[in-house]
Amino acid sequence: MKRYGIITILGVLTVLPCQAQEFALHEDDYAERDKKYSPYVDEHFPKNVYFGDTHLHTSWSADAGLAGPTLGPEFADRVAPVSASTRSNSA
Amino acid sequence: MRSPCVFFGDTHLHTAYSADAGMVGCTLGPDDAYRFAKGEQVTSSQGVPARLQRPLDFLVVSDHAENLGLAVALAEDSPVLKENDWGREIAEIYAPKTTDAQIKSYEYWMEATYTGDDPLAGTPFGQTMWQRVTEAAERHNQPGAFTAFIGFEWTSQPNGTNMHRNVIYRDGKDLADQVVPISSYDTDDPEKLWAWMQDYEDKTGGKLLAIPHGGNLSNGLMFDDTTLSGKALTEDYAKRRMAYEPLYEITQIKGDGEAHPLLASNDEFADYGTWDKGSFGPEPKTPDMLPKEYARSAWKRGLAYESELGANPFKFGVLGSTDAHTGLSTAAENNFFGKVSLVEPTADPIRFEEAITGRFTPDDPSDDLTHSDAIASGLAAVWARENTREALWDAMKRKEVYATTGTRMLVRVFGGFDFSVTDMERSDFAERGYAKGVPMGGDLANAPAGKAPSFMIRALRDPDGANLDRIQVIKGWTTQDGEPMEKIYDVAWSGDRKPGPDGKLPPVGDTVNVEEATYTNAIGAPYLEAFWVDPDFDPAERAFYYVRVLEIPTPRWTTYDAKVFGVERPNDQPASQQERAYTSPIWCTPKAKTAAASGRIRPSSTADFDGITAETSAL
Repeated sequence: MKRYGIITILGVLTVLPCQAQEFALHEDDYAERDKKYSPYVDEHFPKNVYFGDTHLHTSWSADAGLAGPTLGPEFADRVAPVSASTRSNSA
Repeated sequence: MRSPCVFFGDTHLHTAYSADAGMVGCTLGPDDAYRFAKGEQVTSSQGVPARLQRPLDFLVVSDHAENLGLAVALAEDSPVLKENDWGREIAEIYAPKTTDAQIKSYEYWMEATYTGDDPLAGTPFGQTMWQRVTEAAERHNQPGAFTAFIGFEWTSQPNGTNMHRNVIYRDGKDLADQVVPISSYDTDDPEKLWAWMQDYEDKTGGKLLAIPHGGNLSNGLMFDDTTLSGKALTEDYAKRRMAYEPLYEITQIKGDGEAHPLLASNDEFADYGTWDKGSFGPEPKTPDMLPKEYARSAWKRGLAYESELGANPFKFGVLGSTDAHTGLSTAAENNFFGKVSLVEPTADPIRFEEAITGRFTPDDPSDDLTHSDAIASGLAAVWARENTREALWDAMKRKEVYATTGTRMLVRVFGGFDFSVTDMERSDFAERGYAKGVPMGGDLANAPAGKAPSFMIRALRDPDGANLDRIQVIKGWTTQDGEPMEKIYDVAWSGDRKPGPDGKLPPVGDTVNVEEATYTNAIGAPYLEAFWVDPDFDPAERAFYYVRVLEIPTPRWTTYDAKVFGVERPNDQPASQQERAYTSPIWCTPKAKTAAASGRIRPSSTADFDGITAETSAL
């Protein structure tokens, strides 16, 4: 099987050496690019909703820790972003 | 237990570390690529500010393994390049750092690649640059928030045909650094790639998977009836192929690989992003190559092979990715930074006219494809429980993934024999789906007597995007005589359209204002769902089912360009197009050797849905 190696086309631009002048890689042609294309550049309004809880007690609250729960702040911070959970009453 | 959700990303992105990017205009490296993917604003190689509408969840920087990092080493005048004569010579050619010197050094590198021998063999160059790539991935990998996979592209192209594969690591730098990536200097043969992958896994205890792409540019080699070395396909070949290549990249900038209009004459949506003018080599495309290039045909032929060999060599799931060589993963029509840095957004005609194929026949434009033929595609969508390398990789391995052509539709599919229409309405819909059936990428077998497979399908539009036109189930099967068949069912659609006498659902309409490059969601539906039972099921036949979801028409990227830059639209391109999602199929097998009983076959890698994995606990 004849082999061209990785050659001509790893991507779009690869051309045979004899065609290299077709690259049009001349600075003159590209001196000024239009700077406004991506519609999201410098966008300033919120784009996502983030869900959370601003009010959670752990065993460090006296009215929680003395009445059953054993899970501390470290566990609460861990469990929120991940999926695993161990309920206090399952141990 | 948290339910799986969809994570969107790109498994195929090049940076300046790829010689064919970095030596021809791309200056962004892996760090820039990850920052951009995470939602940061970056400046493109051509100086255009760029930002995604929303961050990606994961990214594989998959630079070409062949002299990976060459352009970066040249730009840095790195001593690691000067360990042999060839390295010193190319550094000298490059030294003036003019455009002319860059072109000459690029030509010098290409001459070396013609020989098929690595010009930097025996030097520490490969290992040094690979470690910089893996370092970048470690720097940006944030378990739970953003996954930076380690990966590379193995760039096999015998005779200029596209046999490329991206290799994706489940592992971190500690394992990945132990073996320098295989390149096409080592071999063009995918079987040898798989052997290399097995060697890596044996040595390190790590895990790899490879994702082939660009079958439309393979001139019939991607899903061929023989191995690359010309041997007949065997059961062993089929098993090795599916062990290491569970997925196929079905859509990307260089064309869409779901179906070809000549192979699917009854499918009015098949002619999307069709690139069928040859490969990168001199050989023209002939119709006999097409069935061996497109996913739907390969899936159908795979069923016949399974019945003949006892194993299916083409039982792959699908995802989409970009293959951009800009360091910028952009798959949106209104935010498309192009295939390579030279065709980044600009009013300059090069953006539409740069030739991509057909270079071997400069006097014959009939086989040319130019950058205006490029499609702003695609994305990989992965159903997983958490955003980590391990969870996403495992989902890819079990094929619980789908492709989109760039938008973020949510698509969920369950197949089974025991679903009823009321299961669609249950509050524990997904739990029910997993408990009584299989998700996309799964297997059904041994249909109980009198039962046909049923499917529960949900599709939600991209929250920031266009409404949906319809959901389709595409079934492929082989008759008992071995004849491959396919049929497309419209199973849910917007509005009160009625199928015509030909069985075809009328088009959804088109709100696109071509001059202004806008559309409205006055047509279509934000959400569609279907409970569908195969009305033509024959339990003796092998079959697969996948879901295609179509959006309403939206402006093509060239239409946005015309508006933004005040240029003429290329007159051979449509003004609008319908983005779509393709799911991995669910296969239905009459007599599955591995099935303990009738019903669903649960792959071992999904068994951990019942419990908490070690990785989860560690977090």
